[in-house]
Amino acid sequence: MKAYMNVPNTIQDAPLQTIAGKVNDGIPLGGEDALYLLNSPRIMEIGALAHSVRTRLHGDRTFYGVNLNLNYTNVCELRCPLCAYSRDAGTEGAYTLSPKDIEARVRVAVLKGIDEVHVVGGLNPELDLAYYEELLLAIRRAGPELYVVGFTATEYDYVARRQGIPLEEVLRRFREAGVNALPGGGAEVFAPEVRQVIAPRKMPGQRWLDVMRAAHQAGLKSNATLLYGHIETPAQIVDHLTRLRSLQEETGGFKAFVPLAFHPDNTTVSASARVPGGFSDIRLYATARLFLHNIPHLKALWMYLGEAMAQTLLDFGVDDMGSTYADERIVHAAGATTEPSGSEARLQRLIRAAGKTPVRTASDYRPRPAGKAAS
Amino acid sequence: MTRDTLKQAIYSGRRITPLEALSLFDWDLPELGCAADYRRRMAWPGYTVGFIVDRIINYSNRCEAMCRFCAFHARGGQIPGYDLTREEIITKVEELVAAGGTQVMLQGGLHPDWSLQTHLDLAREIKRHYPGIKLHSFSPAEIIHLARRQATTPDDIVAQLKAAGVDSVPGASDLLVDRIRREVSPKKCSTAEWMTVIESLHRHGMASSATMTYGLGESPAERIEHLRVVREAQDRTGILRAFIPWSFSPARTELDDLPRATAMDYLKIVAIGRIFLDNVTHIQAGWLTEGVKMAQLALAMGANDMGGILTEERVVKATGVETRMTRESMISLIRDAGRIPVERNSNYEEIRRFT
Repeated sequence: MKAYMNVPNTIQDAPLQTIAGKVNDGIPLGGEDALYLLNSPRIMEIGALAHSVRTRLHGDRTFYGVNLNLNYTNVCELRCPLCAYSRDAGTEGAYTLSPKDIEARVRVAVLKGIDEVHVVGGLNPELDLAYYEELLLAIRRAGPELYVVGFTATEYDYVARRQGIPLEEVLRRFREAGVNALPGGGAEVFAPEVRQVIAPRKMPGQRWLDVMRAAHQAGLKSNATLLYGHIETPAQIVDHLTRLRSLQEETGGFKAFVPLAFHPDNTTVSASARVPGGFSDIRLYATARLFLHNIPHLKALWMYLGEAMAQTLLDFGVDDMGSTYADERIVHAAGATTEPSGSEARLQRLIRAAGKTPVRTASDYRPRPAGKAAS
Repeated sequence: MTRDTLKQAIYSGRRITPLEALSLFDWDLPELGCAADYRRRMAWPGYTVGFIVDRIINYSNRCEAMCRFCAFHARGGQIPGYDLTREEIITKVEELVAAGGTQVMLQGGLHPDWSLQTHLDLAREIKRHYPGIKLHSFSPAEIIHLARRQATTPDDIVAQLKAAGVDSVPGASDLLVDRIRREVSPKKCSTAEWMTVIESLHRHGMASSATMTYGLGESPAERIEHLRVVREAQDRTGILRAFIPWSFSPARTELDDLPRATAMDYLKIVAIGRIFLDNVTHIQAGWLTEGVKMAQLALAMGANDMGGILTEERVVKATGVETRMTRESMISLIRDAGRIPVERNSNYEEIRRFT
């Protein structure tokens, strides 16, 4: 258990020593501990603690996926200030993929050897329940073996309201049509005063949690996200993590926590006061690893953070580097300068260069045979 | 030796052997960072982090060395050659002075046509206009090149550069491992010649620095060998004001098939450099090549300096790496790391602190 007995000896700082004691004894951290960590410049000591937890949970195994990102429509009623991707219906650049288009895309990706499809899109009033079911069946036809991670909590809520059917029924029908798990998107920051600015028309944070609870109860696992690096305060981050941890106590349905670094370009949210350094990323991920003791995986998306930071985080609590994300568009619309998709070999190389063992997987974290994907 | 014994040795301040340093590559970043920061505090107590307002003037891209790792030098038909005129160079210095800058780095190459006199005249002219500006300029490779060209000794070249107003010479060491130098930069000075120049600079009371370019196909042991040469040079002379590692950027060079060194390599080299080089006070974080995130992290892993604002650098830019830096962003980056930003001069003396 006490893999890092030597760590507290080198910690000079009294509150950190207390936190280290709790981590070593398996006592959940309090909100005040998380707040302290998020404000501390002692990122190496904090990192050592987070790394000890990561090592305890996963050894040096580091997960990655080979997947297709399917953004089926960019038409969205919400038009959130945080988003550079969405369009109004009928305007230039607006699109919706037909189930036929989707089937064709998935077939191509299957030939390239993907294990998983990640399907998310906007809240498009033109689409009915049949569209979603046909979309899912199209994916199934193209890749019967694929693991399908489908639709954010926001989309489930929207479909239920728009079609006038209970949320539980939407979850059940989508599951039957082929959804295996839910991605973690749409959580943003739960604090209402932040949502009011970055996503004023998106459903409240509490509703996101309620949809996730219902999904978990319907037998669907999910991820959970946090959009950070804009206007949120450390206290609001702690509030977000606390709510996730409580729901996890209740359902056990979260597989991974996935912080998303905010990219301001082409959005109307100003994050100009932010310092673009590496300390804030380290603090956030390491704190999440230490505070979210009941969520097994912590994922650093190289596409959002850059390869350098994502790789570095593997020693600061992270055990999952994300996937190849063929066809990703949303974060790139917001100015991410990373490559639109990574090859499997590249992810493996970054993981090995970090002294870790790459394990190819999907969102269920069952190992998949490596190396069958073409770049 | 177990990891714990080595850890104790590091925390006791004892000098680390090359073999011990090699084993540090297996340490996790946080563990290594804690140890390196401990040694940083022994070498540089307190919490200040320095930076300098300087300007690199790449006065020419004509270079006889044609190193395989370089994307900057003129290549017939592909990259046109240029030489800045004396007036253009003076204007650039003037702009730096107007912006409150204190240091000029003149960096060219092994110029096929310029005589020693051209170099000396350039230094004299800058000093005549701006006597307060420090010239941290040229390099050991250029000094060896000029010595050959003039059929004289490197020591003589150093003496003449000094007389013309050059204050200090960047170490521009690339990788001080002859096996690698023969492969990637066979026309540049050898490790022994580099050492000769450092000793000459010492004799003439001039300071230098040591850089490290890694990711050139070297082994981990060869990385440590570079550090060993630097430590020995510093034991002999004590004139190396700083150690500055950066990764090789393969794009647009003849070595673009080499896999790029990763962020972890960088952070580990900073930390191991700090632990191994117990005789070097300053370690610079390389925001230009590694990006601001990694440079800021380096401050937690042994670095205590952010180097220069480097207005208008062109050599790294030629490989497609582009990072911009201003005085303001430098200050906020240092503050965000929990350190106190200090603008310094070439000699690492404090000019002002931003509390």
